[in-house]
Amino acid sequence: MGGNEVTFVGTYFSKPLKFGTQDFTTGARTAFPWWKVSGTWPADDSEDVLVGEKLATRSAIQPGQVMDINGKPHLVSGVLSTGGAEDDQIIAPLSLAQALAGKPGAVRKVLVSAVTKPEDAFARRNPDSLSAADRDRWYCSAYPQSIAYQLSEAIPHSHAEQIRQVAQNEGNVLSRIKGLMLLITLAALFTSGLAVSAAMATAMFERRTEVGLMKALGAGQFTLSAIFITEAVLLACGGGLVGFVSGGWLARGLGRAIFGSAIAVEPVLLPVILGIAIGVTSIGSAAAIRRAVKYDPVRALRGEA
Amino acid sequence: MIRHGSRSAMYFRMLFRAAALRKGQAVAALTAMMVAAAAATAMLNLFVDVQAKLRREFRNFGANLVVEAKSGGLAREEISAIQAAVSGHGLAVPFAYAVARDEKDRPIVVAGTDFELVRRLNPWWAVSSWPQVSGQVLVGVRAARLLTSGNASFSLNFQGHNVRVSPMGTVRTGAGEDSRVYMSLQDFQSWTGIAPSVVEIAASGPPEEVTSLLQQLQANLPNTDVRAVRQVTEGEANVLGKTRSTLLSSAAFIVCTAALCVLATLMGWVFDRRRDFAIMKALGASDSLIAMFVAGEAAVLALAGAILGFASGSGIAAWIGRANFHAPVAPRLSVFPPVLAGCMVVTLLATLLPLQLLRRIQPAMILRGE
Repeated sequence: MGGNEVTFVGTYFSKPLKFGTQDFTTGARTAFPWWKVSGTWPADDSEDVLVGEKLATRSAIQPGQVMDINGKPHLVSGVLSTGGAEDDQIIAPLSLAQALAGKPGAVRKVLVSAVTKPEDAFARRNPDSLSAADRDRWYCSAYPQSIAYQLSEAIPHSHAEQIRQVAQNEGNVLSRIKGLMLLITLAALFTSGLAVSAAMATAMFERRTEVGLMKALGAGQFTLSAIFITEAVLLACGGGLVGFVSGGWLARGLGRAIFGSAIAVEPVLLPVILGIAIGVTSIGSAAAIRRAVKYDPVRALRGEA
Repeated sequence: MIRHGSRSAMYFRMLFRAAALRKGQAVAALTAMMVAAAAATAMLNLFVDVQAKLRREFRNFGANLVVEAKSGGLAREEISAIQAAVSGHGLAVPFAYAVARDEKDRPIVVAGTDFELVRRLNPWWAVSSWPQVSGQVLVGVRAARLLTSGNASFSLNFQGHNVRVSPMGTVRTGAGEDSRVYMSLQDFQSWTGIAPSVVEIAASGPPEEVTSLLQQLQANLPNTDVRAVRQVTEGEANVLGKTRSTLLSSAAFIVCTAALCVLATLMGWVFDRRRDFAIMKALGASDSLIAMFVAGEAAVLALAGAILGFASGSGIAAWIGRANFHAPVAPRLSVFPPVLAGCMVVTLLATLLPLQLLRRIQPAMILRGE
């Protein structure tokens, strides 16, 4: 180009692919969301190219201009800005780059964007030294290492390596956020336990004449506790059910608002939620119930307690 | 004066006797209040602090700004100017690059840098052992397969200058670094005479500070190209923004739940005392006097709840910080005024609202138990 050597990169921009029965679209537009193009992205089957920002400024290239590459005219559909090495390169559809290099069907590097599980001590083990059961577990976990291992298995004469800058740090940040959410959930549970105990204390206090009457009629402490605990458990089940439905609805709404995708509400969680509700209510109301069954019936009935 | 004194004494007597006589309910109300205040304090504290803590995690992603010489290398003054601008809130690591030839005349990229700084800039580099002294180099895992067998030293040639180096360890990153050889900047410069061409900067702080540093560098160093590493900065902004929204909305729900609980408990308390108010009214107290009395009670409750809640909430936030980020979240006094104000609003709402309803009823009806 003007007698200068420029790195020419071919890639997919937004290429529809078919794997088995699955259709999906892949390419730079989804894998590198920070790539910004002024102008338009070239189509994957076109002969148009993108020119890096710095290269474009140096050679005074505008989007929509036609430039000569190896003696053939190509339309510059846009100018690419990435903040990386691509700013000095020409990015073209893969087929064009292969034709230019005279190597149809050949690629040098495949960048994989995979959803992985944060690396732990088990992930760092060498799969060949593991027992058969452990190896299966390692192989089927979405660790960056096992995905890389499977990729090198699938593509002969290739070498797959995790991009540590992304894979390592992503795991760190995610585990921090996960821990934060867990601790906030614990704090919220603790808060609601205390709130339940305050509400139960008030409710029990209001029912002291009722307790006094039952005691005067001969109810023992055990019967009384059983009645109130059953009541609390039923309350917890009802509240848990309503809470599960409304909380699920809320989580979906939040997921959609913040992440642009709904958070799936697992029905499996319902018994867990009910269990937590029953636990929190029982612990929260234990003190109030204990105090209630100790009321002196005479004083309670006279309204003095 | 005496009359006034006895009146205020009576006021406080009524206030505290009311609490002392109904101890259980007063404690329940105070607990509910305290829990709401604690939840609000913990959430506000975390909300302010967690972003700074997460941002620090993000600095482990490496550089977020890069300064590149427009042509040739960076002058010594330029590098020291960058380091002066960055010092205190980040790291600036110079890199120099050259293409050398190995013993079989194959090209290999050799980089010169400061190992101490690189180690802190890029903690994700998997390095078997870092070079300690002059003459030792760090070899990328792919380069190592070509260059050496075992730990034998090898020689590199750059434009007729030969240098013999011994590999101290290997570096694995999964990216371009794997095919390079890294040596200390002093070794590199005395061998090739090439000045650093790139300075990678990991600037800490909120996005505005990073942007202002970027602009400051751009203005002060006209012969260089200063840019943000968008892959890092945009990803960071994205994750932080989403965490922030999630935290904010969950905080809002927790605080709302706690406030509702306080509202219910206090309303129950006021309704329960309708006989007291009816007696006061029968004895000749005006509606506004009763309202003042209840409001005073509410204010004392709110103040006590806010102080206790602030203390325990700060404790919760500190515990979460220590458990998750291994650094405590410092209690912020600036959080106290909004928490106190919130407590006041909730208690006044919870006490004056039922009072408004009771006002319409004749005291005689309440006293008869209707």
